[in-house]
Amino acid sequence: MISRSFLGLFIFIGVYVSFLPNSWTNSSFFDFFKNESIKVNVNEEFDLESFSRIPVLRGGRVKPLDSVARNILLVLRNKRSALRVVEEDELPDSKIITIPQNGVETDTVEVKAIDWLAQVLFHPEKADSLKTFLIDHDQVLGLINRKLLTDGKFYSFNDLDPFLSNIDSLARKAGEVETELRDSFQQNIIELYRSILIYKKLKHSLFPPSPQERPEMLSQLGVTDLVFNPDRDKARSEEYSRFRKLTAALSQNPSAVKLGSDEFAKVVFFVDRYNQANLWTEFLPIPPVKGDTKGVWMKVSESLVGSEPLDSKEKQNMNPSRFALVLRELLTLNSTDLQTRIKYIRENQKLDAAALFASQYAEAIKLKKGVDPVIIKYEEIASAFRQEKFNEFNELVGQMRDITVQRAGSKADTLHFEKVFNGFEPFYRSASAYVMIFILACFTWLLASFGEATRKIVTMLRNSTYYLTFIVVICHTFGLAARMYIEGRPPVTNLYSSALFIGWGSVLLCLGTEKYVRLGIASAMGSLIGFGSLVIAHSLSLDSSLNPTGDTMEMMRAVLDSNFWLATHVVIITIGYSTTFLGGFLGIAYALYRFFVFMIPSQNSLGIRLHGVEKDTNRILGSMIFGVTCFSLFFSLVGTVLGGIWADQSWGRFWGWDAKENGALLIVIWNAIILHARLSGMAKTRGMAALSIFGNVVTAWSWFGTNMLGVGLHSYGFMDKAFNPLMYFFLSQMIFILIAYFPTGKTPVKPQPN
Amino acid sequence: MSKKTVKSWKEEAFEEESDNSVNEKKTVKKKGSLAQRRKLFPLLLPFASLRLTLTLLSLSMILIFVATLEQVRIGIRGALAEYFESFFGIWYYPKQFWGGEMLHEIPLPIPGGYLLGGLLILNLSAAYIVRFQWTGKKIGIQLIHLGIILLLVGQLATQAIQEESRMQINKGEKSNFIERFHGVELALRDVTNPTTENVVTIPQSLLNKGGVINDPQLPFELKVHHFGVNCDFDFAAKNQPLSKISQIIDRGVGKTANLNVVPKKEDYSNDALNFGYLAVELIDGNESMGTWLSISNPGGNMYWKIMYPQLADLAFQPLRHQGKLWGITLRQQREYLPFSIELLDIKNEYYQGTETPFNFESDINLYLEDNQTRRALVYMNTPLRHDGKTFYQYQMNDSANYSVFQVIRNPSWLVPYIACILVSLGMLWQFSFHLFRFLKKNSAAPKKAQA
Repeated sequence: MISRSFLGLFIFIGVYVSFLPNSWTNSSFFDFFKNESIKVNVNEEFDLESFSRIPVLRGGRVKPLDSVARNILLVLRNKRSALRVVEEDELPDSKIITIPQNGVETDTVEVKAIDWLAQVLFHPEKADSLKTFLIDHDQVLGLINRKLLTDGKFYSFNDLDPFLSNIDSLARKAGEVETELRDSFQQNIIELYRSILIYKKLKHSLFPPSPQERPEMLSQLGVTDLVFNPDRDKARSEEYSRFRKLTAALSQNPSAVKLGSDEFAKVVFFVDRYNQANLWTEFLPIPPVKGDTKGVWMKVSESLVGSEPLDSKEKQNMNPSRFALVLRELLTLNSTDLQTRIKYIRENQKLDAAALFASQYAEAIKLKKGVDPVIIKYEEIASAFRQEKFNEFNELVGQMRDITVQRAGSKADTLHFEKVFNGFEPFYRSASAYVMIFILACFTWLLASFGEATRKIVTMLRNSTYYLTFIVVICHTFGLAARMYIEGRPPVTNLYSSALFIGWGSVLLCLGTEKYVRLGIASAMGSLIGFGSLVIAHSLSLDSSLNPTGDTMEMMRAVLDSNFWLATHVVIITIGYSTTFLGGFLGIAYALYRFFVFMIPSQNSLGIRLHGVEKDTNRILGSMIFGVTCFSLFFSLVGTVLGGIWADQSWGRFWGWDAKENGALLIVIWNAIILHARLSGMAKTRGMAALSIFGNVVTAWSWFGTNMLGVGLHSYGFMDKAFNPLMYFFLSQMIFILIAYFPTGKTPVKPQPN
Repeated sequence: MSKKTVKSWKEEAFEEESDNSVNEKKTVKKKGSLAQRRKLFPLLLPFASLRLTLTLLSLSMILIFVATLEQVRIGIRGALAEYFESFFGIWYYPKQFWGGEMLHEIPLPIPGGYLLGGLLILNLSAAYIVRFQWTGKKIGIQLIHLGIILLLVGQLATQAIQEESRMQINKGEKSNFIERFHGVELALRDVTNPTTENVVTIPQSLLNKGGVINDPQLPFELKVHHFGVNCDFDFAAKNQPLSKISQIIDRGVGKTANLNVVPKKEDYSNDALNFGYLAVELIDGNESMGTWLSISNPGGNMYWKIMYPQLADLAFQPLRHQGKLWGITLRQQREYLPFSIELLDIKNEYYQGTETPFNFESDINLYLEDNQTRRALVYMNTPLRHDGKTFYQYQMNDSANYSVFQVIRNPSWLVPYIACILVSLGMLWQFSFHLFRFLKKNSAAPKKAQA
């Protein structure tokens, strides 16, 4: 009875950690099915939950603002939140985090990602004082005159502002060095430079920066009254409307298009201005307009003037009078003809800069009409946010969501799901649960050594770990499935997802083993691999060279864009990785078990019992390793061969000795060696365990080592930070192999095949 | 169901193992056929040993690992030549690694791909004859190993006969030849007649030999003074001393542009650009007509015009001889095809707001041998296959409007497919055999002791 209730308790804990609302995640399993409910008092608070679901396009994918905020903060601060220094007379309502600043301990509170994003977009002056950047390299800190010990590692934009030009020039210099040859300062300064760039672009994504033109120049052009003036205009869109009036007038009167004409000069001035602004944007906020079959998202300025067909520098080389001539001719056409002509020019006159630029201007003048309502709505939202008009903000956000979601079409179907998924953090949940399972399994072994007295409890605990693993695997599976749903892709698309999948595969296989051999060994090793691979996945998501946008659901490069092969070759080869790792970890379990059993002298009572069961455990572990290795050989061989067929289908060669291909081949050969050594009797259980442990080294090499070489077709994920961790991993495996061969003064009992 | 399969397989595998170890000792007496085969081929016995298999497999791990590392230094092509397509290679421990300063000096012989591949094939075939039982029970294992032999043989064949070339087409133009990535030839074109053209080509192997070259189709003799597969070249200042090669040049672009050519080692890296050079003297009877310099552009000689307008003539250096107009050029080795390809359109698309490409696509017309045409799209993962050649989308330049296909001819492409089918069949047989045996056993004794 008691044991039953304990079992129930453990199961409940598992469900709680995996699915239920808890304090360390933002959403629970129920939130996926719930319609979004307004949790805030609309008159007293900003409804950021609603705001976070507005769709935008970043990194080629339509996603909610929530993902944009989280991903960018992940790049900037390696966390999914920013920090705000608490003011002196303030009573903060959330947990206080103390960090050093200017040599004193300072109280800060966490600012949620979406709150941070709202401030960056709508109230940048406020956001500039938030601790947003992570700098932990001592030389980079020295550059901004700070120390890690007294000033901490988190800095705000205001902290960095005085040093920007210095950082910029140093980063440029470092950028001239080849990627492989950069030292750690160069790497870090480039990373900081990129972070600052992302932040600046993000700030201007909705509201382009005001260019610092000289007033004399403006008045000379006669545009002083036309450009945005914060004292007079409510919003920047008033400037846009005035620009529209100019273009409308010009398209009515194409003959004014000539060098020296005032109207023409004004339009050119604005188009140039907006072209410049196009460079300063981190995401595309404006959804496709009605009737656009291609679903083209746009930047703010792009919706006004389109985008430049060539680099702006090419303008200096073009013939201005020819440009005016072509433009004038284009403007005399009617809209339909103009569209066809523009298309023709862009396809057939690619080397003709004058015609290309003229096509953009013609588009801006004649085809683009009005100011997109989304721009105006964002301006209203910004103003409501700055003035803290909660009710108005919330209402506008609601309207904005309606417009954008409708215009985004089917691409916006997963928005709600993605937002909840972001807060659900299934991999964080699973990782913590795996730690729990591992501790529980270890504890069970300890109890098991007391023999009969604890047998009942041990059985109960073993069953508990089994059911716990089962529940957590569901959570892990759900995470993978959710990613597949959002991306519309098979589970493995990049290194990050391969880590998620390897952990998942191992745990699942352990679960299957544990079903038949309920000793807790498979559970413990499975949870260890599960936890390890999730930690690896997390650190991969932080690697800026691998994941520059912070989004782990990035778009696939053209050559990999094949769902069929991703689903077969990549998935199977990844299962091969995970089973090989599992074999290796079972090998480690064997080595450690053997070591500890022989450490305990067989004279005392515990020793006698342990040595009594040693033979059995030995045999079971041996058969587990053997079975898993069979699986590994099967999956790695099939996966590798499928890879060859993919290569033959798309590149015309079955095998090209590419680094990643060779890595996979090494795994196949190594598994073949283990099996043949075992079958021929050359290796017994211990030999097989040692060989399997070395299998970990081979697999880790194939998984990461080949990426570090940075050669070959598969080098889509170059990484250098992993070198030292990888070396330590290799070293640790060698130590385990030595432990397996530790002289115990007794010959180990040979396994008896049944 | 699937879970049961898993279990059965694992347990059966163990029985398999015990079977096997017994087999090693007893089969000689039991199975007549195996004993007979052993008597027939006693010489094969030492080659069939499993110890040899394990040794060879371990050595191939070393080979593959080393060759992968070396790709950083010498590129895939270099690693292929040094390690995979050789009997043994010499490896020096990389200097950058731990202790590299000291260890770098020691030359380490690494067994090469041909050696290990050949021995593995021998080992497997020998095992096939004098160690495997040819029984239904073992047919799965036999099929798997047969498939692996085929894979090895197929790869060795591919390594030996596969050819890689490129075909570059400008939009709106047609092309009917492909050029090798590596390897050059000297082409002498008689263009006197505006409608037809006589071309005499001299392959790299002859140029390598040097000396005087005669050809009945040529009214003059060629004397190769200097030839190499890669060089550095620059425009020498007026008083700058010239290299040994450039000193003897007295005709053509090499003279007018005052090119200074310095030989260079062939670059094997992946993005290598090897500029082949040739200093050749034309001799009519006993009289020298002059010495020309010709350099081959690895991207195709039409690039000279774009790279250095003053060297545009390297694609065709004219010379008059006995009323005929000839052109001399050293170019990438060409192969003319019985069909031609016209590039109609190219597409180069990126994900919105990113620099990640999601599509490269060439829209082409294929003009076949029998005057028929066929429209085709060539894009990522979808190459064009025709006449034993595979054309796949390799490079594309959107602003200059051209597309480059990599062209691969591999007559042994079918072998790996057959091998894969054999291996799959073998695995399927092995699995189902064990599954059925397991099910039968289980139904006979439903209560089995827990493992």
